[in-house]
Amino acid sequence: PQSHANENTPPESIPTERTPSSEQETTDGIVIDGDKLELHLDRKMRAIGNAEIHRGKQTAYGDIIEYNVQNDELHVTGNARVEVGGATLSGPELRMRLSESIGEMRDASIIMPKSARISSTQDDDALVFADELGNEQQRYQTRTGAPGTTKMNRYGEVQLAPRASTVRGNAEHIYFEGEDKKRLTNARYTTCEVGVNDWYIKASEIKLDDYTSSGSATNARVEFKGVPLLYTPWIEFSFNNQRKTGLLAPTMGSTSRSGFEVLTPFYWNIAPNMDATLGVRALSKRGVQLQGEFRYMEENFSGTDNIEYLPSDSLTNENRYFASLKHQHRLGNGWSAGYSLDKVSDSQYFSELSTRIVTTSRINLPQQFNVDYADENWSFNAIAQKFQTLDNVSFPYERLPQMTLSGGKTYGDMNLNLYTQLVAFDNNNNSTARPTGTRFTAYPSITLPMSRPYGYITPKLGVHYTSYNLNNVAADQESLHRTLPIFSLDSGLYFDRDFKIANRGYSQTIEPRLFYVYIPDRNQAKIPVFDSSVTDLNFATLFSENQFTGNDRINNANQLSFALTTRFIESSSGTQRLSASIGQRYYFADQQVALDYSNLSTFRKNNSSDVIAGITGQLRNSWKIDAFWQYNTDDSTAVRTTITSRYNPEPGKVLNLSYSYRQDLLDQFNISSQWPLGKGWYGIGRMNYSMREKNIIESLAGLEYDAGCWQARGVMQRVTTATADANYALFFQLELGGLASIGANPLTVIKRNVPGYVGSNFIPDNPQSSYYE
Amino acid sequence: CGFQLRGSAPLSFTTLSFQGSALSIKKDLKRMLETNNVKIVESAEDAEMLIDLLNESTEKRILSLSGGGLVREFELYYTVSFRTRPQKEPLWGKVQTIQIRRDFSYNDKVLLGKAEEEAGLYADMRKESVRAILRRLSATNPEQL
Repeated sequence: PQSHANENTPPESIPTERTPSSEQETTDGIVIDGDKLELHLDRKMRAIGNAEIHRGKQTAYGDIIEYNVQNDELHVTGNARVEVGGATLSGPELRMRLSESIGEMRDASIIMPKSARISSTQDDDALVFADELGNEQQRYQTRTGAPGTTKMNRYGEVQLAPRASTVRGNAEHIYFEGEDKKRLTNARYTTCEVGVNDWYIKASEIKLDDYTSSGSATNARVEFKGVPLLYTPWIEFSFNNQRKTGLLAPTMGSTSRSGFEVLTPFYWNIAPNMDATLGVRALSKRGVQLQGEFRYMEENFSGTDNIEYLPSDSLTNENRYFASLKHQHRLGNGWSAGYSLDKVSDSQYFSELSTRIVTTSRINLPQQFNVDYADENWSFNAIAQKFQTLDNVSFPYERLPQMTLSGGKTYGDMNLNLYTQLVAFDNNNNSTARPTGTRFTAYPSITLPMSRPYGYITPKLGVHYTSYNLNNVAADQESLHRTLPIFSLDSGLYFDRDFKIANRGYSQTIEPRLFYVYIPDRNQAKIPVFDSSVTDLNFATLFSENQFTGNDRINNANQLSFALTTRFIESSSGTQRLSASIGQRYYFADQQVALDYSNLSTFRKNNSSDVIAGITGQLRNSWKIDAFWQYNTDDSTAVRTTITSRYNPEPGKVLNLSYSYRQDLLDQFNISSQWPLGKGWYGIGRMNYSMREKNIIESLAGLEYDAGCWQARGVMQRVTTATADANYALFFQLELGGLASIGANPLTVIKRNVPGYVGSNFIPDNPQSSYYE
Repeated sequence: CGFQLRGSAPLSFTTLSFQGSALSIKKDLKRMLETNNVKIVESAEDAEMLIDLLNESTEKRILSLSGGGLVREFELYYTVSFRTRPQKEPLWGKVQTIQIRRDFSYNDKVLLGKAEEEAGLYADMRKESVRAILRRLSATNPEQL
């Protein structure tokens, strides 16, 4: 038996189907059903036994349902259950005004299943903002994204979002305050599955908003396994992993330099494009460090400011600080400007107070202002740059300022190019006395590119002019000039063939390239070296005119470079699966120019360069390999070997292997991995061993446990620092689903050590093949 | 052995229009397409093929440290993403991403020179990404979609 009541619809129009879904089009239609039905003059309806009532998206069930049509009052007694906007609430009794979704329930429980999540409220700008700033320089990682879905990040890569989780709770009273809003008093809230009671927020009042997928709790206590972890008079949380103002999960740890430490961060979501993270870091050996990070991004400007301050360090009795202010501004019409200012109180700051290799390896902190301009033909850059040098040895020259203007214009088949630069080089006050001065460079050139789909030939002729006005040099060397004609001829051909492997079409290319350069010799022994250094030999520099960077040295050249590249390309997508190259340079003139003329033994004696070879491959999607070799054919010695490879068959399963060798400099291997150990456990490890120094440079070992609605990770790490002895660090972090949606130190540390690492709460239950291209 | 000089028309379309952001590689990509007999047109209506340049980004990571914790090698990543759509199709294709990697030796004593070397490698990676985009474009045939 079933009845249908409405002002516009007579009660005898009984729908043929019992499913409420067929009623959803008529939103103000009401369907009532039960073992026994009573109707009182169209005013009051009563259903007894397995009773249910449907109105729009709302459905209520119970032993007895009474509905007063005139004042829209619903009263359910016995096993009352109501479904509102995907959430299911149940309790012994329910009173509700259906049309307004206003009512209350006693001793009630609430469940919002995974599928009921609203993801359309995602703010795309906020997403981009978080991605933009979520790089390794940041101490706190911000997460956004619809739960349980894979989506593209701003680079178009598939990015994993945290898994969806159930949201549920119970309360002495639940008050319905409109369609999307609920207020719970004396309530508990968790994201754990039914039957799992690992953690709760207990609060005197919790407000939930379905529309924004967020909530807030007053007088809240977070309990984990019955142990109260933290108390807060007020907390906001998101059940959609959106950025929310509130306390973040504290991180505990211990380092050999600073002792036991606890970091309690507070996240302040100021606006969709602006946020701040404030932290208090208590260090048992040193005192209390205050941290603050402020990030902002507007249409025309963006920036990040970082401040750390440790008043009167108990070990050094000094106030210690780190400040980093960064800003970039688009001024319009092609102009932009910005600054980047880094400073620490003392040279030991990073090695004693940080465990992040990105900072502990820093020697020079830049303090610089820049102004840039670019249009179709011209680009201009001005920079004023100084450094704080922490090792007191490696002082770079200060550029106060450097201005570079370069551009090109096409006239028919001909390109006219111009490069000009003016620099004033200054010396750091703490550095030993060195020559300083201004340098002007102008390098106009003409190229005549002749290009066809099957190949190209590009002759180039230019004149490189440089003049110096120097200080701190012998009197006759204060003013120097150098003019060099430079001629080069670049050429290449493309050959193709198509073939098939297991029904997949591939195309293989063979691409020979020849590059000839002629530059006469000028003795440059009197010219100081401000910004010149020798470049690595690789497939980019093999085809450059000058093996020196900067403008202080221009090599003499009468030489020919040759390289052969072959590529394997998937015909259906155009994706390159493998490419291999080999190349060498042949010299028809001896080396006459060097950075340091006093050491003739470093001059090249061979008439050919080392042979270089490289392979880059992405095979079967889960293997990536990149390898490079440099071999001296005259001495028959390996000069350089670099192999990096990654096996990443699915999220949470990654193995990185690499080996790096540079003659007289480096000989080390590196292995890192994240691997599932079963039952929610993941092992994380990294070891970087130097065979040259016969010691471990970096090592990390960690365990991560994923319980579904919470994750725990512990990481032990050894860091070799640039300015002090190795530092040991131990960190522990507990992440409660939806609550501590912003992780702290261990995550950034792991991500740096194990490329490809994915937090276990980001690993989907059923990895989709779409994770890879 | 089956190798032949590349044919004159590897691309199946003759007009293309750029949509989306003005990325640093746009100028080079334009020139490369023109070499391959593709005319670049302003309006999307006049083009057989549309390309939407979405994003580009660079990343610098420490590749190796000396025993004393000093950076000895950096690795660089250049990532660019784009999507294409033949004019007559209503929907854009899948977002395609190209990532290029390079590494170089480092020493703080020659910081300024190494900064320039780094800039040179980024320029080389941008050039390589242009050629990679062209290869992806030649696999796109508006007639077959």
